[in-house]
Amino acid sequence: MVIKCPNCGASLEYDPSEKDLFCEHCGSFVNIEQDEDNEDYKTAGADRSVFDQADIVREILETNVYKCTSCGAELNINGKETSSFCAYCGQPTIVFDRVDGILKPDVIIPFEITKGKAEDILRTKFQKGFFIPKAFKKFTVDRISGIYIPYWLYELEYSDFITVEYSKSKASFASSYGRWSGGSSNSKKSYQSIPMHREFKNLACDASIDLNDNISFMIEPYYFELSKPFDISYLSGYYSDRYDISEARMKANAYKKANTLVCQEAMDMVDGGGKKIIKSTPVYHWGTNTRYAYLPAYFMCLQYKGEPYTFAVNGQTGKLVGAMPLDQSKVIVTSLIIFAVICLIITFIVIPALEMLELLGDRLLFQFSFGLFVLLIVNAKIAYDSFMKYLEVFDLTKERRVRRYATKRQEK
Amino acid sequence: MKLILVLLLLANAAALTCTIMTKWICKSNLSGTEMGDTHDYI
Repeated sequence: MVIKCPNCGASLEYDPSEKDLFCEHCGSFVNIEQDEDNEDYKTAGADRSVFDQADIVREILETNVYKCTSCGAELNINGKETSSFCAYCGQPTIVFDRVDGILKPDVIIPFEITKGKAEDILRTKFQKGFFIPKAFKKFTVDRISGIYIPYWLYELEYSDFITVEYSKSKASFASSYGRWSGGSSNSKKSYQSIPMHREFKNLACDASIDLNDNISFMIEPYYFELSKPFDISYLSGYYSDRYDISEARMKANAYKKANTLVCQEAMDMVDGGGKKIIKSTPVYHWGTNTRYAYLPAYFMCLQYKGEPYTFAVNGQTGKLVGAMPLDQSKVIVTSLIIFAVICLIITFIVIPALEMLELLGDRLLFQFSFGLFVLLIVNAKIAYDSFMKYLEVFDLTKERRVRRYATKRQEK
Repeated sequence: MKLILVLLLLANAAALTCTIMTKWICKSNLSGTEMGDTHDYI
């Protein structure tokens, strides 16, 4: 989106640190609230349409889509604006391509952190990482794209009666509702039934088909108390996507997300090991006030040994999502050192202690061996789960679809 | 019996090494796996 500076005509960019529009060319700031010249297109879209539900009237934000003959950039320019040059490459001739209407978001969370800050977050993480290759630490970002991701925000009243199975003789449980039932303290497997009731006001679901849902789920949460009514000025200097999954279609994902969150909360309330949900009877009711929102994120692309890596940063909180490659030689050397230390402990502490145990009889030795076997399984499971988690995020970081999402836009 | 015990000890040492290493790798090279909870959407 391009908004022109009222002083010099160059493109303005929204500056997260000043919360105003900034012109790099003449150095002036334009206050968003006082930017009266832009009022026409802020409220552009007298055409109103009914969307999905009859009682919801949504505004359409009218934009002209122009295509530059020089660089091919598509420019979303509001209906009132006339442009005689491409804001991306400076080419003076712009060929009118089509007029399009996009749904006007109800709310927006403006970028709170700058591109520089987002890069700093990535650099700080790289510097701290012990197993990150040295060459990778001296990265140069090929590209940073600040993108407003389209989201649907649902209202959902969700009630559930969840039964959790766990393996511990004692359970301590405190519910915000202060009631619970069930639970057996004598059997190896205990059960606890928990009534849950949550009223979601901002159940956010990413409405872009191109963006991997795992990425959008991981860069959350966003804090909606800082959201603002939509204003086109916030888009200046950033890319924005329009939704391509309808509000109605996305409801299934929203319900699944609510279920996952509530079940996880119920499991966290139970104190024990081997927890799993054995019964869930959800009852839910959708609210009518579903909102369309733009939420900010940065995508940073870089290359290492010819392979692309894409890291995402929450544009509001600065939460970084991604996995860095491993310095394999460092991993091997460190593993050998740790293994050697453990072996030394076994040789000089555990084995002498076992020789004492041997005097006590075979039965105790057998029990000890069995205990070791269980410990082995537990350790192997923890190691496997941790490594799988790393691999899952690493695959996302290298996923070409995520990179395409970040780079399909024209360079500025 | 003693041989089994020694083998089990060695296997445990290896598994413990793997656990320490994977936890360390996740702390060092991984970011963004902490998910939001229900209160973030209310």
